[in-house]
Amino acid sequence: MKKVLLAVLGVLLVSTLLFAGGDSEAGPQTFKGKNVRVVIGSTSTSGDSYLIAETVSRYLGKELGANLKVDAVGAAKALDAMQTSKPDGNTIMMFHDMTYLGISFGAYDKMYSLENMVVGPRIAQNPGSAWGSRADAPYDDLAGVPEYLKKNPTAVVRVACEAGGVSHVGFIVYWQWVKDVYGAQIADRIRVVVGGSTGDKLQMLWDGNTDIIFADYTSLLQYTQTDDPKLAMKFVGLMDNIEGVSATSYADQGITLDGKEFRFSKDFLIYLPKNFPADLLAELDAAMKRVNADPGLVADLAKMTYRPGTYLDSVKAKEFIYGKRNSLQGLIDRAPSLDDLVL
Amino acid sequence: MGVLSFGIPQLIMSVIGVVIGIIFGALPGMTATMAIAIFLPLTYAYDLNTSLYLLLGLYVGGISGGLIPAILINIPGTPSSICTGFDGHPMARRGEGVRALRIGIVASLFGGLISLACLFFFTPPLARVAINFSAVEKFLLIVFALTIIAALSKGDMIKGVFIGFVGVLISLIGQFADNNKMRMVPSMFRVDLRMGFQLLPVLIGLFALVQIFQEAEAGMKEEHHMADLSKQSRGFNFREDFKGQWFNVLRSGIIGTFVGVLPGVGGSAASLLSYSQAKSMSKHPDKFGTGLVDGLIASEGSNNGLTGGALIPLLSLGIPGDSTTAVLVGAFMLQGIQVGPLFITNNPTIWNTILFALLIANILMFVFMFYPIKHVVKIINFPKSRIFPVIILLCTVGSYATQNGNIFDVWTMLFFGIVGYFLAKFGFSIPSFLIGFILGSDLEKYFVDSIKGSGGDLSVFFSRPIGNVIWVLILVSLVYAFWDERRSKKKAQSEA
Amino acid sequence: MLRVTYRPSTSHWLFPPIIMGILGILIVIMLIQRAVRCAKEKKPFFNLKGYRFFIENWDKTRLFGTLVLMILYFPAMELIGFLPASIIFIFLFNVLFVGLHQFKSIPVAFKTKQFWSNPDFRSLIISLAIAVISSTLIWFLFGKVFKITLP
Repeated sequence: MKKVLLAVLGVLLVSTLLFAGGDSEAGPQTFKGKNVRVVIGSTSTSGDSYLIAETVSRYLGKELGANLKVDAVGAAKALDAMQTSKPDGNTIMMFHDMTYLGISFGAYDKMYSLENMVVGPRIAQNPGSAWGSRADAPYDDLAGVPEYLKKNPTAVVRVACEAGGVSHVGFIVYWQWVKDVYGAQIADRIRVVVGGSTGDKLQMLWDGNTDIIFADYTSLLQYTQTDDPKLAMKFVGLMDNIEGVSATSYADQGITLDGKEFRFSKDFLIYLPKNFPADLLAELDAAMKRVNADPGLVADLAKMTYRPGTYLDSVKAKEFIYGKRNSLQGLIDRAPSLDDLVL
Repeated sequence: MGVLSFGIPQLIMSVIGVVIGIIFGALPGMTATMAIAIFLPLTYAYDLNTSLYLLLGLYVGGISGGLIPAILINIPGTPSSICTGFDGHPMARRGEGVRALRIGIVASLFGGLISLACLFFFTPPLARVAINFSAVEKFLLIVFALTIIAALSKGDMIKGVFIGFVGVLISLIGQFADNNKMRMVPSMFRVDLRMGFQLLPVLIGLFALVQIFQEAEAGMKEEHHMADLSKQSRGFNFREDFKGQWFNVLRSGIIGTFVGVLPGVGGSAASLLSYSQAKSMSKHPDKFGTGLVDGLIASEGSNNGLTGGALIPLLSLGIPGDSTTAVLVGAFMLQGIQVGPLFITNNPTIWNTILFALLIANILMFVFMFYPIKHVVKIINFPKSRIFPVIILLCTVGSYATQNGNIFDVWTMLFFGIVGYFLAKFGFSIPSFLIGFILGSDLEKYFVDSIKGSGGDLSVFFSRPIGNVIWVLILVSLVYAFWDERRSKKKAQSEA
Repeated sequence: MLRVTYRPSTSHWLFPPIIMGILGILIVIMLIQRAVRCAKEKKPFFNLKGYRFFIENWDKTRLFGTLVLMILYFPAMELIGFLPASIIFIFLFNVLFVGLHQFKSIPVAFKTKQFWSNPDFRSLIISLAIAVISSTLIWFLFGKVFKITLP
């Protein structure tokens, strides 16, 4: 009896050791059968980063025959994972424009720049970057704000956005446009309030500490539909048009960047560690191409006002995202520091 | 319109949710938030109404399960059960483990039901109150919660307050969310400490590892039992144990609900506030911390009160009331349902489902904890030398999982284990340090937010009526703590 | 009225100095309190005589053994994987806490062919069983079923 027990324990010990240690593989590299960790640049499981990564992973996993698991590790950890993970397809990143904006604005080290990772295919777009104000605000949209300021020489309009993010880009494009068209006197009366989460910014609006806030279109939608006077809001400007939505965009309002039409959707791409094998990348491209056309995915994303976007394989996506980064760098460099824009 | 679907599948989901939630809550290092995050992708396979039974079961179970290790081995299973151990563990030590657990479970049930009633009847007015709480009020409320440190560290108040503020300072290490800039981070830890020290590893280190180190130092002698079950001096008796406690139960449930209603004020503040209120309103405050039923009820009633409360701003404003409900938002969004001010009007069925699922979850939590608990208790009959290795294993896994697999968090746990060991050696209160650490980052956030709103004018902190009421509460609480300290010192002198 | 300057680029250093200031004041108060008390009781300000850090008869092996095992355990997880490392170290923790003397029973047990009836050797088997069962259970439940990332 005792010997049997000993033997059983021994066998159990040895087999678990073997089982746990026997994960290494050889032969041609493929995603098939792999457990892939998908790191995303947000710790929230209710933001667009998670929702898009989770939805796309469900379809992409099926196409690849792999098990994709989304890990909401946050921007710093995700960027770091791209520098420290092995390029074997076990760790990939899905993230939006913060991938380069963080470096462009100087919040993250240069070692995390696009050049130090491999760009994969585009997976989705979120056009819903929106500005909202109280419904009873004395202007209808962003373009109306400088007109309002012209008529009311002592008025100040405060805008809540985050430092170093998409909203920061959206704000400096707008501010630069006001400065170019209406002059510095008017632009100086548009001030920034640095805000955090959507909840924080809404609270600022209710407390009377800001006039316009930045948030995701969907998170403000119901505030624009309610008739509760304390809560009611209106959209004053989207950074890009959304299908089937009447709220106007920068382009509709004529807010331009250096005289050119400005549209900004958050582009979600797959990013991979340096020296990522070409055959794995090709496999990813091919799978994403099929996923991109899947009506199921289109419908799932549309429910959340996201869209798959035109299919961009890794080569085109790289060209696209580098171009996008470079087009914004000049603006970021010449924009005044937030220190000079706050009250 | 508004009919709700409930059948065997939903009941099964609820049972699964509650049981797994209790397990996650009871294991040090695992939390309700983690459990919900794990199950979130799975809910896509079911319709939202069915998933809600699972998710809300996990939520209620996860918050409730934390009382088990807090009472039995003095390691809080979740951050919101820290105060549970203050009085629950001394009870277990004197052989009233089952009684303490059952009192805690019953208090949890009532706390949950009170908050559910608030959710059902008062969601719109409470949401209105939440809106009127600006950064100033939130800052002051957190200061108010911090005053518990003064009340806890009786005998050497300055020392307790000092270590509490050290905890606050430690919590500020890392990146400040407003400008993404880091402070107080040595350059070699730039990546690992960007988000600062994580609460869970710090909590586990301070409670579990310190205890293990201390026992190791004492030689793991089995005669000092963690809790004595052999001399079951007193069993649970509902009538006797809850006699004279009804006001306490009600107050705790309401404090829990109210803290839940305020977005951005962490859940652990609920039990801290509730505990200190129970203490300062008590006729025998000096007995708190020695195994007093009042303290146990205050803590457990309030942390379950949080569940319904935190759902109020989520469902009426689209703003989650705590970190766990923030994860729930994902479940709605994945199914294409927007949360916001029109949520209840637009989705009457889901609203009814949430209420019913919470009710079921609270009842199931009670059923699955109250009766089986007398078997669970037997775990501590095992020798310490056999239990502690398994606790080390669980703590390691929990710490590692805090940020989805990060070995730095495991080192954090060990580091704070050692720090806590030294703190205890020099007579500093570990709970005070931890409370400072938990509340520190919110304290900073609302301080800076208030300043931002006022453009730098500090008088903003005295400019709001609700704020001034909280100021009065803070002062009363401090004066009371001083008075209490003086009195107990005099008493000690006259006895000596 | 009291004002502070708020600038976004330096706002991360707005609050920490306040806390540091409070800590500084508290340290001064604590020192004064101690000085007053020491003067009253005619004790020297620093009194290291008779001070002992560790408790009486403290267990060096177990205390430092625990620390050393933890320091080895965490890197080992990353090196050889969660499951094998946990089995080995949970076993070692068990043996350490129960008593290292048990190891002496191994040659004795094999010599006398008395395994289960040798209490120390039996304890080793129990330790191993606890290590294997708890590690495997947690690895399976959290790593496989709930898919928590394990080392």
